[in-house]
Amino acid sequence: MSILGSLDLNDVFIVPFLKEPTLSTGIAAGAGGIVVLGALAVALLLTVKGWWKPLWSEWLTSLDHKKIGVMYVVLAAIMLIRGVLEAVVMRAQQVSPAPGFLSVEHHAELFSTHGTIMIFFVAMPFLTGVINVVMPLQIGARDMEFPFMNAVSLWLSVGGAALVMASLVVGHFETGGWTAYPPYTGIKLSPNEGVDYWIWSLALTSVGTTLSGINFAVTIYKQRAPGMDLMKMPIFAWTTLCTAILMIFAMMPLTVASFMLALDRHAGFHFFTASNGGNMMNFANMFWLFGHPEVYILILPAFGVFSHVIPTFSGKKLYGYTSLVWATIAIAVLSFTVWVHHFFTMGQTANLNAIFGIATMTIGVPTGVKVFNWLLTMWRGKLRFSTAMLFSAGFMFTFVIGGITGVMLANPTIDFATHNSLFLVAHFHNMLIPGLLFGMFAAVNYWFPLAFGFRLDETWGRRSFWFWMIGFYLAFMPLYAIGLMGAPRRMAFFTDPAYFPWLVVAMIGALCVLAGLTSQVIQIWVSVKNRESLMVPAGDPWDGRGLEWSLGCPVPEYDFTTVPHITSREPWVDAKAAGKRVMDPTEFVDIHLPKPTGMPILVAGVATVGAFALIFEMWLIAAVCFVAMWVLVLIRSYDTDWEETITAEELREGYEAHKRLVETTPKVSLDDEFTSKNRGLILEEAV
Amino acid sequence: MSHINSDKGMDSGEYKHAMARYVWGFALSVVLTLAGVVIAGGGVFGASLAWSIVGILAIAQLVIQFWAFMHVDLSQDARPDLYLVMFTFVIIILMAAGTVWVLADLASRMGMGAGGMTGM
Repeated sequence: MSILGSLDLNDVFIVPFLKEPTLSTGIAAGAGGIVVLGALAVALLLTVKGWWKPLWSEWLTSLDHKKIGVMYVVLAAIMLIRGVLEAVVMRAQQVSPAPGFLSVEHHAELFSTHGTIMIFFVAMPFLTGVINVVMPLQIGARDMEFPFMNAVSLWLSVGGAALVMASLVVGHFETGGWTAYPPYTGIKLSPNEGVDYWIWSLALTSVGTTLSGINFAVTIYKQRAPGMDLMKMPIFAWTTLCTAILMIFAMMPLTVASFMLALDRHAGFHFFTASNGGNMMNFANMFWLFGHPEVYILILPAFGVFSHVIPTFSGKKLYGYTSLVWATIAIAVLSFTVWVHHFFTMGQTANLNAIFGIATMTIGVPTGVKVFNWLLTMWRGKLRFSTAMLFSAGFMFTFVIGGITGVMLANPTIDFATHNSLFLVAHFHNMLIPGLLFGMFAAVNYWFPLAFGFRLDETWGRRSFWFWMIGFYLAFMPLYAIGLMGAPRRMAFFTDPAYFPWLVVAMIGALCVLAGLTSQVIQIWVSVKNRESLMVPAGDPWDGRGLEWSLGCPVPEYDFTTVPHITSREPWVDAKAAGKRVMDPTEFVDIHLPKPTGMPILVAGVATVGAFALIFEMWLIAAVCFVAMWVLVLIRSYDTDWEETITAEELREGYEAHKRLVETTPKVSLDDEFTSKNRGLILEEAV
Repeated sequence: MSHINSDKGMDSGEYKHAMARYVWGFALSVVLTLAGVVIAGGGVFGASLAWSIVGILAIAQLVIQFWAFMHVDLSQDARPDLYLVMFTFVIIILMAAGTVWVLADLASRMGMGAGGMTGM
């Protein structure tokens, strides 16, 4: 076998189109072309503008949690664009006259990449990024407990995403859906490299996620400001802690199951084969042992976001802090007890299904508790509908509908009728779009000033909300309807004319969502252009309540000049009530921050090349990469000169400068919150 | 637990105490391992009884190693670590027992009986 393994010319994206030019191969070639040209265009832009060096030294090598967080969100945004475009192509396929313009395999590839990307390369990096930026600021930490590992996690996720992008250019992705159940994904029925793309891109990102989980949990346990005991932590830190614990325990079944599948495919094992003692049902079992906690990994951070956005824009304290904390913990534990509801129809006895059905309905209870908490927080509050608040309110309406259909599906007898139908597809989009994306959009709109020092444009933000909200309903309510009429999921085309009007509405919805996404791109563009008038250097542009708003925007590299002593749940509210505009300094001491280093990119880069080699059976290259990766880690371990010091004097100067700035910033009333008068430190009492 | 790991400020009594714990841990681990080997290879007990005894020995050794080497005990200092270990066990038991339950249930429905489990 050659050193290039199974890679050959036919795997290059343009070749199938040249051999057999159809619309389907043309779209595939076009998508590959966009990836290649896009990469070239970015490279060209960086070269022309001379941005390579600042990009490398300021961002790519940074170990600062805020910058790592922002890079995570950028990764999620890029992948979100691809995921939404794929959805639009699939919607277009289903409204064109049967059999549509896509080949059946191409359509199957699209729904497989759409699912894989949206879960692993949009949702996960998005929430990991937001946690990275915000959580340390909320608990009074200066960085993550393990900043180097944090960067390695990031670049492993980027490597996984790069592999999924590479599948557009070289070879194919798999066609077995994002769950990739064997035996279909075994070597007999899926002999090409597609499933291996899935296995190894997930392997990279799930290792990254496990490391992130460890990092978050340890940071919360060890790095809280003095006085902040667990029941004084902000809710977002609580949901992060629970998510982190889920990440630590839930990613492993996936990693193990996908490695077992890889052994089946390439080493002649029989874990999931139909013969020789294999049992493919165990794959479904293991996949959902990961998959269900994963659902709550995705949703808990968004719950945390809403628990900050809603009190801030209602001008009230969060209602029922303790019940929210216990609801979060209950959800985290219960999430490990419901996984069978993803395969009620696999053939278990009715009793077993019934038990898991009841467990599933139980998990709806703590979730319902949370909705009441948010509603009661809003009750009699003075509501201000900022973009972040709109996304939160839209979430509450929509998520409850998704929750109701979820409880319906939790009943095994109903599930037997609706499983594998578009009803299910509508249900989980109904959970994840409001429950995850809206939460993350709210988080970006709310916390953006912390990272960049200016607010985002409200006009385009609100437009994006309405497009997303209306687009969501148009795109997914029809799927509930035709799902109940019997339309199965993952079909390349339908011939039943009764579905057609519904599919047209869904297509319009998909275009609305695309318009929402476009509005967000415009929002960023407009905000960057007008950043002078959107600057909030004094910090706290929304009359915020958490510790993170006691800092100037953008937050300096060292986060806190002095670590505050915490005596209550809302120290910043207390400080403002006492007439203070900066937190009282405690003690200025020298601090140590990790130096920037290119090593994380190198480690993850080598791992990614190794994973690519595994996909195309280049065993020698894979082995070399594996060894090289660990050698790099070893070299880093012996590096003793990895910290730089920020002196107490610099911190004092930072504090004094911030204090002067805050004292000279004119007070603004809440009515001027969204105008250019808002330079930070907005206060409820108009002056 | 950090006082065991650092040499500073440890008087000879504390040192002896810490050392004794390591030695006990090591000795008990060796004994329990050998007992397992003997039971598995001796053929004195029937297969299912031997499985159970070896399983119990393994769990006993796990507890001893947590106590002796990881310093997880019932003291107030070690309480957060103990909780984390206990939580981990809950999750592992949920996953492992759940998997066995689901797969055995499926096997029974396919007429494989409980014996079908051993083929996996």
